[in-house]
Amino acid sequence: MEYGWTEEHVAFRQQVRDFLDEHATPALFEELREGERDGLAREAGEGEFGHSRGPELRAFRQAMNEAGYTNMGWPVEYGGQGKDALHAFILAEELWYLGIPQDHLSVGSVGRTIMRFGTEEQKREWLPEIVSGDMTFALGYTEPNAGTDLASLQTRATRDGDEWVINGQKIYGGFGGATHGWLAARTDPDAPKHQGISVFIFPTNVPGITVRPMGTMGRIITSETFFDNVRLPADALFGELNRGWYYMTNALDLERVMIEPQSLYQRRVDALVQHIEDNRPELKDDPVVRIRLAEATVDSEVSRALAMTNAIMVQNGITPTMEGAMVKVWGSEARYRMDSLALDLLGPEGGLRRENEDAPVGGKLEENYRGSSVHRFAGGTNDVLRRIIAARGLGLPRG
Amino acid sequence: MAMDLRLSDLQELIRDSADDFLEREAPASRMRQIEWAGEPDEELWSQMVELGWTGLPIAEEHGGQGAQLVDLGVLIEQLCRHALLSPYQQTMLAAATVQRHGDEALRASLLPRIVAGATCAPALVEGNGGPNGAIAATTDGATLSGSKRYVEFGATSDFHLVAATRDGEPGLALAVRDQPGVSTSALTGIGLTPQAEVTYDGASVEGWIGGADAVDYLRVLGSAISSLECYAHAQKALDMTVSYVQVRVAFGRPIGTFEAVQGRVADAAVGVTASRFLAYEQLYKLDQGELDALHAAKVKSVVSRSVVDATNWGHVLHGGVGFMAEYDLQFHTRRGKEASLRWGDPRESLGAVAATVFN
Repeated sequence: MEYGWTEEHVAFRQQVRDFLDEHATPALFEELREGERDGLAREAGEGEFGHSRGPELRAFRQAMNEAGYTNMGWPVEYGGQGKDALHAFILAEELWYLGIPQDHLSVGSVGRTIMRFGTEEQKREWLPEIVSGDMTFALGYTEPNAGTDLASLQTRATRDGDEWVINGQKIYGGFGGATHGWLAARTDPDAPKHQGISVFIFPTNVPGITVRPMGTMGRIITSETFFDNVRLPADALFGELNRGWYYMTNALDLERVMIEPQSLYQRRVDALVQHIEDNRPELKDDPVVRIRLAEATVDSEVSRALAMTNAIMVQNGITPTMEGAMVKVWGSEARYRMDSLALDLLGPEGGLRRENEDAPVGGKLEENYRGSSVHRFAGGTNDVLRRIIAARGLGLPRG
Repeated sequence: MAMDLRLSDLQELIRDSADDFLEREAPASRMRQIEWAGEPDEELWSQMVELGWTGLPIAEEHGGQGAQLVDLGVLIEQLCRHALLSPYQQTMLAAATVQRHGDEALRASLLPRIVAGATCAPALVEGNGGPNGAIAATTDGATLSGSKRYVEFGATSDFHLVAATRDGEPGLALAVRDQPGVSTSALTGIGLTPQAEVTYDGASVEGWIGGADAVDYLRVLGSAISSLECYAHAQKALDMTVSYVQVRVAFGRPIGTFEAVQGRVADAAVGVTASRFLAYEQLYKLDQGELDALHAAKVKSVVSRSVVDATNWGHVLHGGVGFMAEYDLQFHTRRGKEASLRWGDPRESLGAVAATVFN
């Protein structure tokens, strides 16, 4: 057992911090903040989705690419640097601490899945565009009647001559904000439900797609997407017919690796402490405040321990199925408690929205709390992940 | 430097040979006898000495094996899993402290005797002051006066390593226990680890380690070992529970198939997994010479909570059978709690963190 960062990793973290000192400018954070929508306030109709892709973020992304960070974990033959998992972990930790959005879905999950299962032509054509940010993906998995039980999805793809015809409905995806769809659809309605699914890749601007924005009670705008006789060329089918479930679970596993670094939690603790230091010094002597913050600091250590366990296993070439689920369950539960704690300790001030000039942390605390439940169910609800821990990790029998 | 959670070959050897030995020589029936005898089992101790365990973290020049504290942790984990009560952890804590901070003469005099089976009890706490409380015991270098509480194996250990001040400077005095100046009276606690209240009345001193850093090392390593013990008891309780819910049938199927049961087990496993990482990482950092009392307090806070969750959810999921004295789960519930109370209890640990949340 060894628990020491190598000199290479220590140097890399410093390199990333130096990079961020230079490129994570106040203008970037201002643009990011302006791009964050209040899901409650927006009215249905035209709207923006997810994070903005303004000039500052585009410039930052460009600098990331030039530094080789975006796809440094990819093999050299696909334009990456073949850096190990702990490099990716360090980069994610540092970016999350500052709240800079990362394209784990396109670069990490879909990109790696294309690398593994795509044709040579797809790899040559798409992988560079994924790295540059010119090709981004909306995930077409969840449907109104297929969430955690994803294999129950009903969106159909039927073959008509040289084309595929898609009919159905997806929900909570980012079809309004991405260039391409990564869609799961049923291609064999008679097969057992996991075996009749295929994956399709296509531009989101093809005719027949209608996107209806949906405000959330949190900080994001999501959407539901209707597919009405959407005609796709034969080569929109990714990989083999009816192998979609395999590609999806592969991509989901990749997505889980970086899902909850400690920094996502620690930055909340630090922001709250800083606000109290600067604006509410009388709270520093309140024993309840000190003890609750001490508990939060201890919870942060648990987050670090689990995230590190997960990352080191990946580094050692071991698939952390159980540990990845633990990171997600613990991290999202701890984050939700922390988001509530921030408001509890500040009182009515903590509930002030961003339109108030003196709202703590620019109103983010109130938004954090509103958004905190989503992490406990998105990407696999926690109770199902607990079953994965119990069954796949500890060997308990399936019910 | 590297990151690797897998056991080294040496660590696997330590784990497996300790497990084999304890399985054979230390059945639970014997553990129950040792608990109520209130003193170590001398035959078992001499076997442990013969196996070389008492020399594990001691340098080769003093007759030991020069292993790391992480390796020591692997052995202690097995001792906890088998619910063995012995002065091993206490003696190794004292030995490692002397090895790190004692002068050449003291190391050469004490460490070979410990390798050969001598036992040594660290004595730090006075009254209910905890490991960070004031030290009133004093020494002039030749004699020692004061009183200590919660000294584990204090009535039977060959030596005591006693925190005291000399001309106002804190440090550690080594004293032989069996002498007219040392008297002990027994305390019994929740884990039934023998403890003593010890009075030193002009006791003669064998050696002196001056300096607050020596006392701090004793405190932090003591905390680290007790954290490892908490983890070990939590892991064992979790393992027992995972096994039990697969064989216990209710409503026509193993209770481990019920979602509610799986959820409880999964949550306990989350705490145990984090505890394992933190407990071993801390020993590793001590091996690298990093001493961090605040971090030790955070780790202790985590493992104290995990061991309570893992053992008590274990009881709930076992039902009546797990509550029976003849069932072994209770060892880990009591010992785990006891470990969380020694070398910095949950109040002291959380308090240390609370004291530093603001600049």
